[in-house]
Amino acid sequence: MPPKGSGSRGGRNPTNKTSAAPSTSRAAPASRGRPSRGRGSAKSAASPSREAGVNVAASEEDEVDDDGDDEEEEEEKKKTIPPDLVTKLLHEFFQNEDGTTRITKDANGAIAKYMDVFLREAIARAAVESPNKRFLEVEDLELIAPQLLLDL
Amino acid sequence: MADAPEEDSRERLKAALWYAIGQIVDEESLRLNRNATPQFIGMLTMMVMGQIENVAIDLESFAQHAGRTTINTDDVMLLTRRNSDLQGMIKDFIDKQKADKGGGKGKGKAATSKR
Repeated sequence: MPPKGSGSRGGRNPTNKTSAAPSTSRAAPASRGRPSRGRGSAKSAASPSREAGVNVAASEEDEVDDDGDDEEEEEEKKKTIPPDLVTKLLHEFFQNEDGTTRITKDANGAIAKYMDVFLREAIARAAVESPNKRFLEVEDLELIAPQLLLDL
Repeated sequence: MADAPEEDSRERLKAALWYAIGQIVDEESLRLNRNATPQFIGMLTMMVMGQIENVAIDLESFAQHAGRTTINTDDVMLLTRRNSDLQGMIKDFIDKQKADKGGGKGKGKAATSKR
């Protein structure tokens, strides 16, 4: 239900505008997102790093280092969706009536990573959607949601 | 209100997810030099929640199709079949996770290098 809601809202929004606006704006995040994702995966193959998930404007990464932050936090500089939470959520949605569906630890970690990519991609595309605004807003998300859901 | 407990647990999971997503949004918005409205985070939460629902149902079906009741990493790879870049990223991640587990600590995400 949530994806439909967000999808329909995202679909409704472009109709309010001129037809040119949504088509160009949709092309922008898609073209920006795909090559950068490729770059991210290529980099992670060369030298494994957590940046594989965050690739749009990966160069900006250098500016934001955690030296200014608490040093005890440096281990978990990149926050992720907690894998335990992912486990809970997945089991919430499994449909098998016996409740026998299980999941390996590795697979769960991979899904957490997948959701992390999904989330950061959503934020990055929303940010590209409105380059000159100070705030990330719901409308930006509505514009990118349909293509994002198709891409990931 | 027979389904009240279930609704309650779902609300609490949503709250937990909201918090986790808020943390990540804070981190990303710092990097992008933006601010995020609370509504933005709320809608992201709904999107992620919906995506997890789809993913859960898909993965369950994949495992079932393979004659299993336990979801493993192959099922997750199948999930990414339509996006080769994503496929590469998840494959790398799974391989790294396996390597880490073989070599000692099993925390795949705790990469060490600090740029």
